[in-house]
Amino acid sequence: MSTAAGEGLGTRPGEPLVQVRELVKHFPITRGIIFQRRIGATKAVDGVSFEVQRGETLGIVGETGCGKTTTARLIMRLLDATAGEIRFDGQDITRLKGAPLKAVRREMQMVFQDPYSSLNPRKTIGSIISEPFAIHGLHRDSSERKRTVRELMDTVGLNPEHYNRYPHEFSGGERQRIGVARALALKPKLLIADEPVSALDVSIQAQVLNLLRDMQRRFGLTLVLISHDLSVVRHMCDRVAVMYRGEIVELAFNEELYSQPSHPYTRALLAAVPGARKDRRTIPE
Amino acid sequence: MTRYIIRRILWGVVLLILVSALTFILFRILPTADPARLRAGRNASPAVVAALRRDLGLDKPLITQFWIYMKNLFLHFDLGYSYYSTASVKSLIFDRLPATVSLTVGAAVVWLVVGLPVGIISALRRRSKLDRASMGTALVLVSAPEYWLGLICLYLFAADIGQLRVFPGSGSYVGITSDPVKWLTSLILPWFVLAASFAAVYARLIRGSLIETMSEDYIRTARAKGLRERRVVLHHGVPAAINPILTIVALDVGTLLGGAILVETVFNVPGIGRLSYDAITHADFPIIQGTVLLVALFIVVANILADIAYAYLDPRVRYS
Amino acid sequence: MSAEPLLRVEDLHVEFPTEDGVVHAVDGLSYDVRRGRTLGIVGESGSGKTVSSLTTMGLTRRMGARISGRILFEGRDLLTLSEEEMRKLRGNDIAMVFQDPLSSLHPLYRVGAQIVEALRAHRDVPKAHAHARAIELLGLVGIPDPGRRVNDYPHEFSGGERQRAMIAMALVNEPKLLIADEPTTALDVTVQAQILALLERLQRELAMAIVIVTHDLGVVAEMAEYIAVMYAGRIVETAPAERLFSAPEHPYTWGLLKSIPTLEGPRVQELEPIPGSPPSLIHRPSGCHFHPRCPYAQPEHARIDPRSEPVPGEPAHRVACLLEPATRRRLWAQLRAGWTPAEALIAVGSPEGQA
Repeated sequence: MSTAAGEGLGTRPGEPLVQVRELVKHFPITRGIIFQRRIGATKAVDGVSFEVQRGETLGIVGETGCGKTTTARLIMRLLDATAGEIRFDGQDITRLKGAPLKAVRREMQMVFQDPYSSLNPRKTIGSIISEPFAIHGLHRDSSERKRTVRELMDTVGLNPEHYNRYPHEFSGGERQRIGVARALALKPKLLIADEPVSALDVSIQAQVLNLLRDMQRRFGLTLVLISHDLSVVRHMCDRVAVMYRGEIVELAFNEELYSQPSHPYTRALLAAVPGARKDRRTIPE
Repeated sequence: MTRYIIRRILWGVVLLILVSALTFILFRILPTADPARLRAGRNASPAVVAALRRDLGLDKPLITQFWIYMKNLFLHFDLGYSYYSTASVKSLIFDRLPATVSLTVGAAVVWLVVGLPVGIISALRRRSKLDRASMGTALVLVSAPEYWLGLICLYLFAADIGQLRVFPGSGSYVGITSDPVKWLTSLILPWFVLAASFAAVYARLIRGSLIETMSEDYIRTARAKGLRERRVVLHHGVPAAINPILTIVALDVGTLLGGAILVETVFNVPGIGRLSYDAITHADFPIIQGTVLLVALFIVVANILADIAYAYLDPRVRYS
Repeated sequence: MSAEPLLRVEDLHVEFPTEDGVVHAVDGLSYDVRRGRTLGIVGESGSGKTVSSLTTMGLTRRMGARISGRILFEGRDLLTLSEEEMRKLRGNDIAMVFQDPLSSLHPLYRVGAQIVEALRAHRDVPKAHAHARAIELLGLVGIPDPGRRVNDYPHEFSGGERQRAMIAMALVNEPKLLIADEPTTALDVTVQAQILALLERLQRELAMAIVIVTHDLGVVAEMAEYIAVMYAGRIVETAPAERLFSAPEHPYTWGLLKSIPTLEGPRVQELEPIPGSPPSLIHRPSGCHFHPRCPYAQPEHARIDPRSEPVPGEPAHRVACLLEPATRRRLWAQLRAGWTPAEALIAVGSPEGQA
């Protein structure tokens, strides 16, 4: 059974980790010669509600401009919501600022899409991964910090000896691992991955997806995966939200969404995937 | 787009007000010579100096002087009178303007006509002998001081004192209306000297911009369409690469219209540059203010024109 | 169906000398394209697929490339033609569509003008006629209100419309061969579907051969009759589309198929990635380029270059692999049944020591 809001579907006990209610983000459009008048707004996110249960993987799927990345940024508080409510771990974080917000930031981290531009090219990867420690005042002892970072590198499948290398010395897949290591440094509860594999070669995508799965199991993470690629989302996610023009048009468990999509847009999306209509892509049993 | 232009013009006006205020303050506050004393001469008595100060209005409080100045400027377009010669600043400027305009416009034509093609060819034939030679020459011309270059030219080519007596020497400028031929020949050396360093800069600039443009995807598409290489470069490459040139030509021409001091001095061309230079040595504030304001005006106008040119050339700018 | 292929690439080698060393972009490439048919070339970054298409168009000449081999188009070797002769073919008999239509269209000129330019580069046609033809083509590729849109600038088109406009521009001289390099990669999935459907329709209507170059197996599954899989500058496998997906012969193809999540079929618990990364084209592995990442590689595979051979019983299906065909068949049977490469290897036993 799929519902539009997806609330109350939790099969795990306890409160959801993330609760989003009627979230709205408008970007104003202004005009005027001297004084800018607001004549309208781009409704990037227009009344979105959903929950993310602890330990689950939620996928948010949609095409360009549907609002999925904006939603992620709103949850991470990288943007301020125009209206609506965001609750994280029971706390209302919608209007949080300053020190309390910084404390919350430790619990949620993001992995970005473009491994070529999301890492500072002038910093060694050791310092990139340890930056969260510096920001939050952890592991002040430098040798302890280095040890922790090298452990992290090993966990994500990087060679700890490469601590002092620069991003350009790594391939796209390895850079994405660096991004994951950085995100995991603070042992967050929530990891949001925004198109984590879209910029990678096909044969490397599986490596990074497996890594995310692996990390989720090992650290007990809750994962929100944003992607335009329906196959990736199908593979990784327990539940899937389909977004269109700032709204969630369908939110369902994985098996139902892919076998019996109820919303016409979902059906159109699934039908549009190249190779979907002809059954050539399946590996026959 | 009209909205855009109107906004630029309004900001331009604000800028001009700010510039005139700032110039006024700077010249009054900074420890420069006292114009009254300069005017009075070496052995003037304090009483004479004081009287002159009163005449020039220098004894009034700064605020009052400022207010009077701004009022005259923006309500009557009156730029005041020279402390030194009591001529009206406006008339002095208008007298000198044609020479500066002739010098600037002529030089601009020369540096564009020479610099751009050299830069374009260098971009297309990277690392060839031509490229290396032209970029090397460009480096030399950019580094050579204008007055040095001017003096060398006079030394070599001036009709009165030079080795090869080809062009009229310094001081031979006449207005275009009185003797067009003499006007032209007297400006050839100054044009060359003024244009030299600019041509070098522009050649390097367009070379860099074109190299970058030619690696763009739409150039690859143009070639894939089967267009002749000449068309690809001139019709697809150069127009897209011209942007930085537009920006800088506006600034350069705007600034030069306020007077190319060094060249005007070496070649004794009676332009705004000479006027400013003389005014500074005499601490002749009204003239200094007038010429600074003039430069600011030219730069603002030139930039607005450049913005309009961008919008004309690049449809993406038009609709934003 | 004509016997002679429209395009025949024979043992193509393309190298670029760079500061870091010689980049061996294409290393002995051979394939055919028949009239009116679609060939898909699949490869990841660094496979050489784009360089091979650019070389067919003659666009790598000015990059300082060292090219050898033959590219026969209607019997003429393109590599021996002068620049002017090549220019006459480009955008005329052979046309190309590129990946990112926003950066591939000139931002300063109207779309109609760009199409007209493509037409008048090869045909002596009055401007008014060319303009009318541009409108006609925009309509053909499915842009609504083409009479008005023809005067718009590229940035005023949506992503999908831009790609349609690029296709219109490529078709203006009715090419015999269209090379589409990642034509849908930058587009949303619903728009992708529309563009692919458009290409299929145009191919039928114009009897045009298409080479579609992409990293997306789904796209070639949709579009191509024959698929060539490229890796590190070489073609490792060529097959009719159905055979490639049902009975692939090369370990790299197996790796790709096993590592990609699918929309249909059972949801696989773990994807089986290909370990390592695609090699640098400057320092390629010796012998079989894939051997460092191949779970079934034998020591001698680092020394011998595999040759492209037909698969027994399937003359249209060729593979360049040093494993025995029988071994390959057995391995694939295991992989197909859901075993991992490691398990398959054990089940089949040592590939060459099989009794």
